Parts: sequence; C-alpha cells; structure tokens
Amino acid sequence: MLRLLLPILFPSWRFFNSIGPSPRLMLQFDAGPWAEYCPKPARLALAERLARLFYNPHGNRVLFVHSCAVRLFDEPDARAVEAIFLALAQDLNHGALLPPSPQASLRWQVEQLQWDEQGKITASPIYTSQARSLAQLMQLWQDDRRLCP
Amino acid sequence: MSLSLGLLLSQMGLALAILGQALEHRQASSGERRLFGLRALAAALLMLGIIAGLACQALAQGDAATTHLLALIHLVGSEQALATGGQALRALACWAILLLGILSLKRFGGPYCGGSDLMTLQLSLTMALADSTTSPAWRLGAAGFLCIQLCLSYWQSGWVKLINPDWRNGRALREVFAFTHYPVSTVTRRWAEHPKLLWVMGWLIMLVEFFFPLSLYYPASLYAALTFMGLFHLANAWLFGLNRFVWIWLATYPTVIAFAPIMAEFMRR
Repeated sequence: MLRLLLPILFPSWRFFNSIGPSPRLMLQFDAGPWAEYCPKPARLALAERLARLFYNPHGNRVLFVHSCAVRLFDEPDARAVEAIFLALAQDLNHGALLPPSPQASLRWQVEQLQWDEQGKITASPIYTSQARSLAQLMQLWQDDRRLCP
Repeated sequence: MSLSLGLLLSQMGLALAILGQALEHRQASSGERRLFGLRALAAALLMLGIIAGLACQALAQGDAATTHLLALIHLVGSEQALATGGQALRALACWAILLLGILSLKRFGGPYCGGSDLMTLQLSLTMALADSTTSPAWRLGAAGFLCIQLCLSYWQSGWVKLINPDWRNGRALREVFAFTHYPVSTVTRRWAEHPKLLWVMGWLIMLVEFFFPLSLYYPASLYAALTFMGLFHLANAWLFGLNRFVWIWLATYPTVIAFAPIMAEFMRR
C-alpha cells in the first residue's frame, strides 16, 4: 500500500529524463510471420488529430501496452504479461486484430529498439510470451469483472 | 481571480477530464468499465457540486440576474443549505475520485497513462482537502500544495533534462522522434531529420520548465509561462497523442493563477 501511496504524496516528475531503448511489440498467430502491434499510420488527417485531443482510447491503450512492455526490459513481470494479453484480447474482441482462424493461437514478443554506433536503428528481442489460444484470450476478457483483480 | 473561483474552475477541469477518461474506457473489459464508470459517476456528482458552488458565488455578488435563481433556491431550501450541500458533494466526489484513482494504480500495476494519472491524483487530493473544511487556512494550504506540485512538475522535468548531455546536445529529442513509440504517424517521425530545430526546441522547453517557478513573481510572466506550457502540452498531444496530459494540467491552472499572488508575496520575502 505504501508503494501505491508514495507517488500520490511525493510524485516524481522526471519526464523523459533519459531516452533509453524503446519497446516494440510484435505479434505472431500460430507459426505465421511476426507483425508489429498497431503500426503507426503513414499520416493522420487534421480532423483525426483534432479529435484525438479529446478522445484517444486506442492511442492511450497502446501507450499503456508499451509501458507494460518496458516493465519487461529488466525482469519478468507477470502482471505486465497479463495486462498485455488482456489488451490483445480487447483488440480481438473488437475486431482490431484479425486472427487467421477461430482456432488460432497468439504469442507476442517485446523488442528493444535503439540506435547503434553507426546511427542505425536496431531491434533485439527481450521477451517472448507463451502462445495462448483465442478461446483462452476470450476467457481472460470475460473473467475480468472485478474493479481491481 | 478569487481562490474560491479558482478552486471551482479547477474542479470543473478535473470533472471534465475524468469524464473524458471514462469515455475512453467504455469498450474495455467489464472490470475496467466498472472502475471508470464509477469515476464518471463521481465526476458527475462533482459537477453538481460545482454548479451549486457557482450559484452561491453568483448570489454573493448580488447581480440582478440572480433574483430568479434566489427564488428557485428558496423553493427547495436556503442559500446556506446550497453552499453547505454543494461543498459536501464536491468533497465527497473528490475523495471518491482519489480513492478510485488509487484502485486504478493497483489494477494496472502503476499509472495507466503515466504522469497524467499522477497529476489527476494530486488534483483530486488537493480539491478534496480544500472542500473538506470551511477553514480558509486549509483551503489556502491545499491550493498552495497544488501550486507547488505544478511548479515541481515543470522544474524537476526541466532539471533532469538540463543535467543530461543527450538533452543538451539534442540527441534525446531526435531519439524520441526517430524510434520511440510516441510519434503518432510515420510522417511525424521525420521531425528527427531536423536536428537543429529539435535542438532549439529542446533548449526552449528545458529553460521554460526549469525557470517556471520564477514566473509566479509577476502576473504577466505567469500568464506567459502558462500559455507557453499549455501550448507545449497541446503539441505533445498533437505529435505524441498524449491528450490526457493537456486537460489535467490545464485544470490546475485556475488554482495556480488564484494562488500565485500569495506565492509571489512569499517569494519576495
């Protein structure tokens, strides 16, 4: 409880104090090719950018998923893993992620992006999840009923 | 701006920010929807309390236009009951938002949306404290605490960048645009190809953030600094999609504007 209350009384405002490696989440259905989770669009229309100032559920969820991925940089974090699976279950539930078949399974990998000494962006895999069937993910989604699991 | 009005406007900003956040979670899982639904309910109660508070302010000013309002209030009770009830409702709603915010931290294993969640907690805590008592000293103390937190949020953020060589030479901001997950589109990533522009932008942000507390000395400098930082938050929302930061930081500004003369007097001594 103290760990939760401390940030309220003594918050840290060290935004962007250092720019370390950045996470990228890759997804794989069955044994198919890896694909980036929510790749950035080439460009956003002015109206869409304006709308996102007021209502940006997808963008904020992607930011949360990436913050969970960052937690996996140093050590395994079971809660972060479950949070990522739950976010993916939500995407599947709303059709934002389209599986190749209803019987498919899904796993994901966190990659670390950074500049190498030649100034090129390199990606190194940091964590690969277990595969879970779509049925398991839907069950995870349906079981998430408590305010604070 | 009076302190009472500043607090009411900040509470209105808090309520609107919470309602906006709740809307963003309406397609989430059942547990998550319930959590944010309860927060929306607390924000709606807070809005009712704010309306009561604004009505009391209008009556206190004694405008001719308030005659109808007065008649309406006398139908259901008295001005005193409206003031007391409104304040109790605001305090209750802010404590509920704070409690649900702590539950949210527990649910997500930390903030869902980084620093904006922390500022939401700060704002709900100070607004709850301000309306939990009729003591002017308490209300001043709560407003002062929020003012210090806003100054710290900018000053500390500027300080940690200033002592980092990657920020001073512009590399850090180029990295943010080049390969972090923040830019909202691949076109936005092209900002990384303008290192000189990013170097100037980086230094401008670092200096304004670091020297922000000094802006409280004079009203003109405070308004200029708040305008600059408000535009900075908007730019972050525009380029990186960090929309929640805009609304929750803007919500703190009325209280800071109302408290700034006291802070300036304290600093001059």
